[in-house]
Amino acid sequence: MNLAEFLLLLFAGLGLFFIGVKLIGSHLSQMAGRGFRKWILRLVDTSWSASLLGILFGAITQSTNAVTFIVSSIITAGLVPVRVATPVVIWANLGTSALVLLAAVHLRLFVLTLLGVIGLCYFFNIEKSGRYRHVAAALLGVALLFLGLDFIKQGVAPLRELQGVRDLLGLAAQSYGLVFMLGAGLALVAQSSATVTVVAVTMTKMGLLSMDLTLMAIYGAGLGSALSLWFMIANSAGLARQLGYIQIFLKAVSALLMVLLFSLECGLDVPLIKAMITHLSANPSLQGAWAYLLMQLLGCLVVTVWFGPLYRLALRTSPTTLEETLSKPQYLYEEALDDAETALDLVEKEQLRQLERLQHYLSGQDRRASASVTENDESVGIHAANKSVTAEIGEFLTVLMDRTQDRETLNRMLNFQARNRLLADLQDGLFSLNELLCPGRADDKTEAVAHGIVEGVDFLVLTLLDALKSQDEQDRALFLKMTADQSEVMERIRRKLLLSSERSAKMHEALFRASSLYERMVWLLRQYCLLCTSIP
Amino acid sequence: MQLEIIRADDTVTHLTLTGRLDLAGVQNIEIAFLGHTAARGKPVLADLSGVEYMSSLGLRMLLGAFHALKRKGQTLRLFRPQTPVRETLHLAGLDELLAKSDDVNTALPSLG
Repeated sequence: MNLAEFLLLLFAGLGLFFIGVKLIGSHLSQMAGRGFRKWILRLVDTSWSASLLGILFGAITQSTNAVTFIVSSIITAGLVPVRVATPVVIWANLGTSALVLLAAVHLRLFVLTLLGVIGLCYFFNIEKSGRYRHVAAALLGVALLFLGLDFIKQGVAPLRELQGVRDLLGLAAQSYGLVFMLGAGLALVAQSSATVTVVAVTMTKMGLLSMDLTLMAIYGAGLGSALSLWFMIANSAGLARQLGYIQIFLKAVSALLMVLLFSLECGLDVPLIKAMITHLSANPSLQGAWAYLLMQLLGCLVVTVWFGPLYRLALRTSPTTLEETLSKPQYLYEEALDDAETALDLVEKEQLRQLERLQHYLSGQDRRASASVTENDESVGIHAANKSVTAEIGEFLTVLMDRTQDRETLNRMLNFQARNRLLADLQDGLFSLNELLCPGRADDKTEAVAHGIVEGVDFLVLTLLDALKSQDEQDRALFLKMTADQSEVMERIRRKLLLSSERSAKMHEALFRASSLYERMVWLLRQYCLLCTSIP
Repeated sequence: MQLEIIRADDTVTHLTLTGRLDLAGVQNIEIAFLGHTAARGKPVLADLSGVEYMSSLGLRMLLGAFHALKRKGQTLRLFRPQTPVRETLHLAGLDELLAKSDDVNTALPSLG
């Protein structure tokens, strides 16, 4: 192989490594269903078990972002308080050391076997089954990640023989600061200190980096990872930002403390980290891995000790958002699952609450006095929160169905599931309708038609709510009569739109789409009312 | 928003609404409107020719009166709405509330 081929091997290895990291993180995040979260909930009842769970999660996912995502979803769903779940996020940092430790040992046979097994899984279509899809994809991620590392090792091997590389390393050896900044820069780009550490450890193994330089690259990567997270959370708010601040503090403080310890050890000749990792292993690449682990451990311990003030500061800097508040179901809780009838009553209340929220979607001229007036950018977040509660109701019903044998109760559950699907469709439809017709997007010429549609659908939502709350058969019958057939009205409106030449083509299209959406909204509201009428 | 009573006797309540039936408008006249319609319990002919804008809350107020009158065996008819308001009433499925004629002499006797 010539030099270009080695460089391409290195490049491909990095590519495979990144694909692996992404596959693991994204597929493990998608495994965070209700059953998975319930399993977590059982384990986070003490701070010790939460910390152990965090280490395990960090080791499996190799991504503190993936762990943060899973934990955020549990906290946002109101299943566990922030204080109880945060140790999982903190200690996941330590778990990420597993990759670095594994990369320091020879894993080629393991990787080849794993790839073969996963290939067979794909051949037999096991990856298409809903149950194992994410497991298979995450395992593929693990295999690709380690295969990538193997490529990197092969690609790096001839580099140490090159004069240019030797000169560069010789130059770097004169400045720890340069290597530190290089590590920080790479981690900033790769968004992972573990990734940079693995590459640094691999280079140490191939004899390209001395131990001192490797340590500085690792510590720099720690700080770079903190900086990368700082940029990542710039547009987030609420809980995500709170957890982000805690993580940034952890990463930055651990990296800076390690640099301080390194300086003391070199300057004063006091046996500290270097002495410890030399004692732990004679293998240079394992020594790098141990240094990374110690850096994470130090950060976790500091944050654990200072958690109270740190959390208060994070909460003050980034208060809980409206979206997070709205994402919490009010009536659903785990214990209710033990009694199907009670659980269904609670589902009904939660669905009614969601139905009430539909009136907040439309930015007509006339907003309810009780409804919070929202800006357009906020409406996206509120829609996401509503969808999240609807999804939560759906999962609650699925778990309930698994536990129920009674035919009549099962029929009731199916009815509630159908209502939930309608709710989700109504949320999407009203969101789209608002996007099309909200003030500022429609011009004066479209205003009259837009008003009719917005006020009409808003009125039907209110009327359905009144009918469901009153539980009066006459109210429901009247609502069903009102929503019986809108096709003639809509046809007339569309004909009028076609005849009008005053509007732009874009507005024409928007109004046509809005009229179709309106028809669909009326149909969905009617179906919802019919479902509520069909069971006692 | 203004409400004016044209006629209120034992056989009918004939009133006109003028202005915008939006949140402020509804808050302005709702109690008076329901008092003259639902509470009186006589057939109602509401002239909407002066109503420039109809919101969902306005529609809800009209439906509330219609519903209350229906329970008492009476009815509410909306009369001469402007085209945009008529369109909104159609879209809301409230065609039933619209008077068959735009002529007051024809509309009034049909209430009985």
